[in-house]
Amino acid sequence: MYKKAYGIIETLAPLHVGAAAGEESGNLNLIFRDQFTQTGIIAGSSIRGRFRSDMRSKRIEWLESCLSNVSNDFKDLYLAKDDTSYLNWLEEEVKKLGQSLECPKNLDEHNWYGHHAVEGRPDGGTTEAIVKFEYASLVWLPVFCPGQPVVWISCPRLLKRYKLITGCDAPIPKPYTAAKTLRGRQISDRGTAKQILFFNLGFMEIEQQIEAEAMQKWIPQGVDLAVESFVVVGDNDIAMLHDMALYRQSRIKMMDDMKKVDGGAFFNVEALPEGSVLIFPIALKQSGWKPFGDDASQDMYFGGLESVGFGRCHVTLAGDYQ
Amino acid sequence: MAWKTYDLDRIAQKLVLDAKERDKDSLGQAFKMRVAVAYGLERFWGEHLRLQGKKADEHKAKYWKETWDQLVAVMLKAGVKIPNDSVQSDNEKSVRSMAEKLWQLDIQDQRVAIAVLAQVCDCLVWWTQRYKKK
Repeated sequence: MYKKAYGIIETLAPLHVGAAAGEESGNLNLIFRDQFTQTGIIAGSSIRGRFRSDMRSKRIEWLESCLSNVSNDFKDLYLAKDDTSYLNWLEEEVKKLGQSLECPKNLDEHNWYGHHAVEGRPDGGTTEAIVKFEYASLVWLPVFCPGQPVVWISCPRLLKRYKLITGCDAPIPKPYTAAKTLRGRQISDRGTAKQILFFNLGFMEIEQQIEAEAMQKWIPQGVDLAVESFVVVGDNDIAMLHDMALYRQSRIKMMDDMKKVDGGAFFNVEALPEGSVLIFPIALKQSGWKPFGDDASQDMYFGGLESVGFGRCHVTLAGDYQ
Repeated sequence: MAWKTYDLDRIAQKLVLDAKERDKDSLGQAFKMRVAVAYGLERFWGEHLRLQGKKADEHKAKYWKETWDQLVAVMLKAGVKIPNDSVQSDNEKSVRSMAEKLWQLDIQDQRVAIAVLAQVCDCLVWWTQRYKKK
């Protein structure tokens, strides 16, 4: 009954989806993590919110076009009123003209993502969404390797979810598997031919090596990553490696008139690093959903802390969604 | 187990507590160590020799050297050999020979050692903050 699709998110800037500054004790603004691997996620509601907001902008443009036939200076008219949102004001103005507020279906965020509650209507006037989103989980996460190229790690559990969502038919690599083309270090005097990868907090022996073509199957659509940098690690180790890979900073807000910290305006953030790859399932009750027009991919902003430069992502849709 | 931790935090805590026990004034070296890392292994290693001669700085010299010894031990666990000759500051020949060995380290080994050393120093700074109160 449902059409199955999915989205691939590649972070182009650090990404923080979780508590905002000041919401958690200790001032550490943790990202949301999934409960099994303890690795970063983007909540389905955050994904929906971004899609809804982007489509609402398109509806606002449509409302503006309804008014522009009448007047060109409607933005000045709005600026005089500060007690209503721009969207509400536009809707009122369009209504005054006697025009219908019903915009083309492909621009109506209420249609695709569900109608919010409205006072005075039965059941608040809410509707079921046509498009359903689940949370996005990591597929590949970049980790710094001193003296070696950056590697992208995953684990069997995360790859299992990827496999379920995409229908990929490759067998899931065992823990500590890399492609034969991995550029690790060969430490000859350890009595082993195994490759070694060094990290800041420890090192890792590659126990299995598979053909590059087999690893290739785990590169998601629309993502530009090289198989020789992939390493599958154990489910039990991914949480620690993930924490080592996160982007962390202490940040402050300065006073407006002096170059010093504004009282207690001090916060620590963590974020998924740029170059992280995530996947989220989408289920649709009907086709025709074209959030990116005729394109399959687009840049979108997720999470908070845009003010510190976070959140830019590249999203690619795949599967049966149009 | 394919993943092996260097246990840097544990090593650092011990280094800091040992240093504090000898002379709490040497704890201030941790931040200097962290700064020295960026300039390379030779500078870090050489610092204990600079401090060696003076009576007042002996504990500080020991702190630098102990940290270096721990780095060498940790890297050896990972299969990377970092030279660690026993050198006295007044023996120029041995200083020169040890320095040469460090400069000649494979560039990849240097990068790994420097990354680990930076991490050790970050840990030292952390534990210093914890134990610095008199």
